[in-house]
Amino acid sequence: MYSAPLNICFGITSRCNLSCKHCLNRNTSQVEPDLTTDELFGVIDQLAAAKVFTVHIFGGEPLVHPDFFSIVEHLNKYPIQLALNTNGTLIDRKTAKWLKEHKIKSTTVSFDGSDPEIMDATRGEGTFSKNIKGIESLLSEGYRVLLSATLTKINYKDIRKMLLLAKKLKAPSIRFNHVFFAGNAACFMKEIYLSHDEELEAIEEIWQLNKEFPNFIDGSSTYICQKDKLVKMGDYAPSMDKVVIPPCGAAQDKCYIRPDGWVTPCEIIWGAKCGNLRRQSFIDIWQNSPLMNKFREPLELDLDKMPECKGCQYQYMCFIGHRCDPYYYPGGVKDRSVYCWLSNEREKRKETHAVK
Amino acid sequence: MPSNDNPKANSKIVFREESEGALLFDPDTGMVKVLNDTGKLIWANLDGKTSQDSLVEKIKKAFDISDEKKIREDLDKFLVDLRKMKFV
Repeated sequence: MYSAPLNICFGITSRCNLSCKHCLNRNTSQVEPDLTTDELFGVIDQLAAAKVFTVHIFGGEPLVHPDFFSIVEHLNKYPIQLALNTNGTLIDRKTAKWLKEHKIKSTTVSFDGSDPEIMDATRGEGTFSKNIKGIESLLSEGYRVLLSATLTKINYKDIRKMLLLAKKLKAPSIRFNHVFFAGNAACFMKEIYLSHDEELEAIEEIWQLNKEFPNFIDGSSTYICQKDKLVKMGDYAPSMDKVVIPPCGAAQDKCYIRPDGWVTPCEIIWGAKCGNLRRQSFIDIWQNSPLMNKFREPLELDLDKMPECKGCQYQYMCFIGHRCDPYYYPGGVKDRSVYCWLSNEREKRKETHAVK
Repeated sequence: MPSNDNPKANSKIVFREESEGALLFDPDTGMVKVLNDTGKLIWANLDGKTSQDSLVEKIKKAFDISDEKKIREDLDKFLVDLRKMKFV
């Protein structure tokens, strides 16, 4: 275990100027108020003392925070690399220049459609033009902007056009992700979740585009990873008894600080509260939280209890390390049905179970 | 590089000690280098005053190694890596 995480996702505010249908952070169980600016400064001091290498500034929408610029200036006091996750709608040329001058090294901007009709259907009216303006402003300052698209029923037929628009804007790369089963996404489930067939169609489309436009689709795209696995599966010898899944990056080299001070193993798993910075030090939570330590252990799956998975050739696909997706399912992190590619079990689960 | 060079660590580099070894991090480039105990000893002595010959002596003494040729080769390689990363 590292003495401290290498990377932190730091949610500085729960507020946002948008209310996207697939947002993880809306409609969560957060009931405590956001950390005050002074408390945020105190947390930053702790991260610096722990020698955290990189801070990804998250929200809500970080730029909505009234003290956003002071918070970045406070981070600038320390040798910490900074990255910004934003919806881009509040960024103009002047702001982009300021961010560059204040050592924000990279930006990830949400990007969910190639035209106003599609993007605004997910993110709200008027979003598209502001989003594009924000992306253009960042690109004009020389940022390597990673465009991050979350695929839903609303935009999954728009994949090619999104990619072409990203190229037209001269963005260096685009990432395609699936929706996680939490926050607003759970409320708009039927409206946005891709069915099994739709998801396979999206994977195929992205796979083709990846061949057509090499090195443009970001390798961290969940859909690319999935197809990679399907292709590589040929040599995989499925297990009949036990599978051990190694830990993912959550609680290993990264963690998430929620706007209300709760520390969780990663930015996707909002509910796994390991300790609150109002009551505990950051290092104490990182090093001693029983839940954080639990995430560091490998997962052992007894296939006698999962007869449908015994010997299944798709184990290679399903038994991956990430715990964020299954976390929101009734079986928790050991619930692999979320990854099953042979049945529509995932869809049934999404429809019948309430989120945590 | 002549062996009487006195390499100096880049002061911008963050050194983080871990229970096993240490990590070096450049906040400008994001580059990370993992150090073992020998690397830690070398890094601690990259003060611009300690020569490579002295570094070899310190390694010999600290880790009770007699093969000086091997130490020198490894040290050269290590310093080349650090220079490429602009850590020294």
